[in-house]
Amino acid sequence: MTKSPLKSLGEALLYLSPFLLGVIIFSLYPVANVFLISFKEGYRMATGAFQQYGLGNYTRVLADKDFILALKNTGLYVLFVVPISTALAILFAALLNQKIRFTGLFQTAYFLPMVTSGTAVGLAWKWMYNYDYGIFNYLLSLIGVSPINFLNDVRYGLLSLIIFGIWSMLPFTIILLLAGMQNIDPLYYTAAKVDGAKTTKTFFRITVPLLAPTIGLVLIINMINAFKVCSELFPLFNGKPGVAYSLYTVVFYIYDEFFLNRQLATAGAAAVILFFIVFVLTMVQLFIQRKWKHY
Amino acid sequence: MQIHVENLTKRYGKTIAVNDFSATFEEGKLIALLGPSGCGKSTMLYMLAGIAPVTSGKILFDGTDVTYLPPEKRNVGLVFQNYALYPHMSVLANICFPLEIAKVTKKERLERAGELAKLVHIEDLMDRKPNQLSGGQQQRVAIARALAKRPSFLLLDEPLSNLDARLRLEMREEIRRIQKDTGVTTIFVTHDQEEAMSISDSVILMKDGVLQQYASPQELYDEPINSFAADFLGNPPINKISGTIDKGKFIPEGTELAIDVLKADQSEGTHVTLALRAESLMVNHKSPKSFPALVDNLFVMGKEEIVALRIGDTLLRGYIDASHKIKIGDEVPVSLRSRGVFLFDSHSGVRLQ
Repeated sequence: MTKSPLKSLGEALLYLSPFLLGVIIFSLYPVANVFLISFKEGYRMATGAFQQYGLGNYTRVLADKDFILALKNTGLYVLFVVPISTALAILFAALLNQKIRFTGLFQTAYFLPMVTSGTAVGLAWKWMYNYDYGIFNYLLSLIGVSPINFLNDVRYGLLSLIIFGIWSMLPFTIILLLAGMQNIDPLYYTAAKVDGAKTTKTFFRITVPLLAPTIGLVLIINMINAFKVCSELFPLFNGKPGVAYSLYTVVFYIYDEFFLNRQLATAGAAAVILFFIVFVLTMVQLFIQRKWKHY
Repeated sequence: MQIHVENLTKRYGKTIAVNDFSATFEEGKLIALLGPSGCGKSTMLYMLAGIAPVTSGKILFDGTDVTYLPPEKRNVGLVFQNYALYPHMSVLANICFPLEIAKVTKKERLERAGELAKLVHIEDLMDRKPNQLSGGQQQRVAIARALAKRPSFLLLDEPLSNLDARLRLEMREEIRRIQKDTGVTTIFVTHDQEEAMSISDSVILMKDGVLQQYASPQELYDEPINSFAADFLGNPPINKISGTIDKGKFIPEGTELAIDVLKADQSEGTHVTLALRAESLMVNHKSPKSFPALVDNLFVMGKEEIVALRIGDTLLRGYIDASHKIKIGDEVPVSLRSRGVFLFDSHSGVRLQ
């Protein structure tokens, strides 16, 4: 008994409907709606009334110096956090991949931050950054550096955020890279050994190239996540985007625009701009990686 | 280079992979390490390469003790069973990698790679990636890479097991040719007796980590040292009849026959195994020493046929010319040639005759 393709598609859709319904209501519809609203000029949230379709919200957002600041902050954050945390993660993953004692203990230690609440971790970091009692200033004092006001000095706010961002991105990145490393056939290492390669040479000529697909994946995931930086700010800066609103990030800007200023349309425009930036950069990255892939 | 190993032993926990192995591998020879799976032949190879640490014993290269030297200091070339070519590097880069590590200049590297490519016939494949190569081509690249550093000797782990039947024949002749051309002492591991017999200068037969016999292929076939060696070599497998010695004759178990095969006195009543190569049976051939056997089955093989004969409960295989007139169920006289007839102690497997 064969079913017509249309009929079997209907059946498949029926089975999928609970999931599809959720996706449509909670993902597709809101996304489409944000796109639509971002083009509605003079949009009123309460009534849904608007004057006309146009690019007015976009020109307003792009003229807002807070948004430009947010773009700059987010850009710098991504630029530093993604490469540094990925590079560190490769290093740590390589170390965790060694046959050493207490591997399990080390792995747990590295992955613990992932299962801890972001807010709790943020508060711990806030304490570590503390001007008077924080461990960072204590360590700096040991090497004779005068204390730094990490969180309350406009000059250091972004640095503090970036350091915290690098740290919080590590565990997940390490997990992915470690999984990738464990997929590399140990035979290649034996072959490299017979060929006379030392540890460093093996790492750069065998491990890293064979890990390239995983590294590419990790870079994309991390980049997307880094562009969405926002919640990291709350515990560190008491729910504000840094001292004197100096640390606006794009998502924080969207948040404020929506929840504080009740400007749904401009918030939507900002969200769409962020979406396109991430989209274009991801495409560029995928394109580079396709050329970069060795096998 | 001449390799000498002395009382080499390798334990993995309680298992003994290689047990008190002593042998000398002569310079410039192609030597096969032959044995069934798990007999320790690959472990032996890895110990020579320096990948597997030695439990006890000594390895000497031209008289120098290298037992505890790491692989990179031994100057060995190793070809892995599945080649282990670096998948992200081109064929050229794969061959050049050991030279790059050895800090050979780029010009010399390319020169050497060119030479090797010519030797193993892969000149046209230099820009390809390993996954764009067939099994045989990968094998050639792996050999070229292993030879790049001009190793003192070349080790091949089951070099032909990943190839299909036709390629296997081709590659085994290629291995022989490359070995001859380069003159490098080569040791290869195989579980295939035909492979070992067809290309090597000498064969080391191993079982349960113990060296059984070290001889030329012909000698191994003609003069097996024990029943395992006789069993392991030859196709079709050697025929075996168990029985006892009585009044200077061999009495097959469960029969009234008395076969006159003894060349010297053997102690009466010993349980022995008579082993007969298929080609040593002269089927349907009457002679003073011939004995009767029942034709159980006939298999056509072209110019010859294989005949299955029954003596008591034992089936024997022999060749017969296709022009015979015998039928299944006939009783035929069987005579034995003097070559390929062995007598072993049933219990210890030691060769008696």
